[in-house]
Amino acid sequence: MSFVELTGEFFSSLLGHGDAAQATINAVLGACLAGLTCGVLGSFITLRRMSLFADMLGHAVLPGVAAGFIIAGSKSTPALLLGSLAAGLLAALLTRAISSHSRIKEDASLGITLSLFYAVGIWLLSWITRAGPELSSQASGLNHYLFGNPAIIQVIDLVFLASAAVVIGAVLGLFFKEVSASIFDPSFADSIGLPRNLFDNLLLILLTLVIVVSLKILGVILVAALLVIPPATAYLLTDKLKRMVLLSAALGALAGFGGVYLDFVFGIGVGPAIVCLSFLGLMGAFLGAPHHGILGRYLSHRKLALKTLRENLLTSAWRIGERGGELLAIPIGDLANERGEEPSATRLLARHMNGSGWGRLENDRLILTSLGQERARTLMRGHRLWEIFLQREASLAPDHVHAGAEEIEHFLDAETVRELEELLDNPETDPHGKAIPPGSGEGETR
Amino acid sequence: MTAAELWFDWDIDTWPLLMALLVGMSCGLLGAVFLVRHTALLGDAVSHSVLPGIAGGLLLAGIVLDRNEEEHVFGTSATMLFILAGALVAGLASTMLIEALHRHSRIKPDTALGAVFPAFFAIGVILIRLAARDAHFDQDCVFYGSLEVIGEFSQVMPTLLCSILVILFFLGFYKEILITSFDRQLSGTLGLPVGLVNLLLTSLLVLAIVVAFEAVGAILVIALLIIPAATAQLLSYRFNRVLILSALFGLSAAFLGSWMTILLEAVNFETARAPTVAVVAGLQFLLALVFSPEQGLLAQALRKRALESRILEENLLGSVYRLGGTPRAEAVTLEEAAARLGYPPEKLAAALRRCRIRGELTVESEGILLTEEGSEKVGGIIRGHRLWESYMIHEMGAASDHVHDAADHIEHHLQPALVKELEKLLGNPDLDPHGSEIP
Repeated sequence: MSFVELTGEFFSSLLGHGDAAQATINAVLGACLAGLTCGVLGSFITLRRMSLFADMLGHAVLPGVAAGFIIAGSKSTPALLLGSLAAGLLAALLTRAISSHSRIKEDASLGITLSLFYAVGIWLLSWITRAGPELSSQASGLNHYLFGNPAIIQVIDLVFLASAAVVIGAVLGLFFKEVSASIFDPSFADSIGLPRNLFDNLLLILLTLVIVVSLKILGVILVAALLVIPPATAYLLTDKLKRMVLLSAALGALAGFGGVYLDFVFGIGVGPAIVCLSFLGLMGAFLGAPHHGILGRYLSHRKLALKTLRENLLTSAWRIGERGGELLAIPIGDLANERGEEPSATRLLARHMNGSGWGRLENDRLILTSLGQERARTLMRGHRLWEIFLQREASLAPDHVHAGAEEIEHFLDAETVRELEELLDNPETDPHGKAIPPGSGEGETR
Repeated sequence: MTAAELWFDWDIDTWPLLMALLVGMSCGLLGAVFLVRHTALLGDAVSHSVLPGIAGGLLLAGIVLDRNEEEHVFGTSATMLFILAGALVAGLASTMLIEALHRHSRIKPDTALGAVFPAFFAIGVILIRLAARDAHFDQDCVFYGSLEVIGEFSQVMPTLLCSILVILFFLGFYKEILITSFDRQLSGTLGLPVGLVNLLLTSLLVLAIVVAFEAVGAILVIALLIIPAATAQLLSYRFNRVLILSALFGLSAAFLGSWMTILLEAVNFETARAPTVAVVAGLQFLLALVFSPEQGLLAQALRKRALESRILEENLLGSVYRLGGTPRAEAVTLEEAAARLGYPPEKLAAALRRCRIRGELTVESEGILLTEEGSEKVGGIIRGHRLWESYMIHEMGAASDHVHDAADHIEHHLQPALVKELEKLLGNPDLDPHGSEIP
């Protein structure tokens, strides 16, 4: 069947009846619920620097699945869930015990527990598949716990997923303030007597819970991805915790839906499809996020570079004007002279003035607007005040202060300049004996 | 059950055992370096991340190579070379991506690690599904490993070459590995190629994981990378010993694990060999965690108990002394001594017995008396206590009613050398801040 036909069938089965349609609906519901819950909890987990715990617990619940199966003798969902819950909690305890009672660091102890528990799980599974027919005949499908397979999602799994979502939502909603305080400001949390250890343990228990119920969809190895990748994506897109939680939940649910769809159409497996989709999202945010992405950072860097360049031209112009030269329409040759550049280089730079509102290049002259003059004055005032500050307060020699001031002049805001004025008693000349231009609007009154 | 069933059948077991031993040794050596560099989880990340490279190499080999003619290069099939190259690229790419994610955005390193490797693994799983459609590729070996199906030397060959490379690297660059692992600044001043050493180490790690993945399973190999190294770290503080011990633990896990599979099979408990090796490595670790002579939980507990009983004994002696039970004065009952310390008397019974055996206390009909030996010992302790009180008041400016509790704690830990320094510092005072005599 073609791609379009399969897409049509996918969406019609979401609205349809019958066993096949029900299986698709269950898969979509399960994947979205898992994505939603993992997204919410994952935000707290990644911010609390517990991402690797998620990874560890994902692998570590495997022996619990196997042991639950062996004890129950069948793939009874509650038995497997209980087994994996027990294994997960045991693994968390062991990790803590190793890193607190020996010199092995936490990351290594996570690796130890992960591989040890995973090995025991695989070992048990290898026994189950070779054991007598009464056990191994039941075991087909246990492999689904390795990769996950929403095709086997039943109503009971959805019930467990939904209950876990409710529990996690309720606990996090109830302790939102406390948990966020203990994540963002540990010393404040300690000072108001919040039991931070308790919240850490609470997060670990919730983490185990969500991993256990999501296992059938994503499998032991990939389940951590849904707890880490959507929150990391959201983290790049917003600075507010509440928004991050909502965004990450939405991203998780979206990835869940998209994953089931992609598997339906291309047959590449739901778990891998969900993870690849979320990872694409992360890469997109990493490259394109407005403030925290590569592109955003590049653009704001460019903007700053342009501003610095323009402002440097303004101060050069001011220096020429100060010596009695033409300030309103400065020939490029004079400007190049002042800056010690080839005129062609200055001309190239001066073109960047166009569109700044401070001035423009016209007839090979730099024309300053009144706004530009004002800005130049402010810049020079800040520059020279800073030089005096460096000389007086940081005891630098007069010939050492220029470079520092050259850099900081672009970042001095009105507030800082006012403080400098106060601190330095409104001086009139800088360390090199040059006049400090009066502040904006105060020129006449002083 | 015959004796033959309990031991290796060398006709079948030679190559699987050799394979396990080689993997155990090279992973042990490499893992130890990454563990002491606090990058133990790099092995975790890389072992998940090589999967797309393995699958990609396999797909590419299927396209490029003539299916009917298995070509051999250096005793290895050409397909294997494709797989190796793909895995190397994927492994290094994942480490670089992790680095880039946390260098160039505000994502934390642990999150970057936790995001990248499942993503690579997922891509690998998808590629394997595509590859499995036309190549014969055993998906299960990714998880279970397939040590038992190794039947000829050519299958061990890549691992053998890799192990030789690892050993040569460690022999040739031991100093560089040591210095770059522990002292970045020194390596900078010595002009050591830190980046190159790191790159070589990571490449060797990827190589070791790749040659091991079919035999041991892509993820079980983490167990051999981290666990023997951690076991070694529990037994020694010296880098060279940790390296050797880690390699030895890798070897012993491989050997004992393989043997255990045979023993279990004899009692009709059939398991795969690779996970058994990993489980044995884990057992070795747990044993070391509990029984390591210096760092083990048992040794820690024993040391703690020894300290606690010494403190009890010293408190008992001190209490008897302060209540006047020196050889020249009156006897003290156990109840009185305990009441002074705020303990129930039973708590001191064992301490009393030990002090009697050592001849520091005698029990007469009217109560406990200090012997000559006992009063000498308690004199030393109380001297330390009172010197410390004086020290706290003179040097730290503590109030005189605040120093007793601190001195109570520290009196059990004062070494003779420290007491001598206190004497020198305080000019051998005769009285403590409360006006009591310093013995």
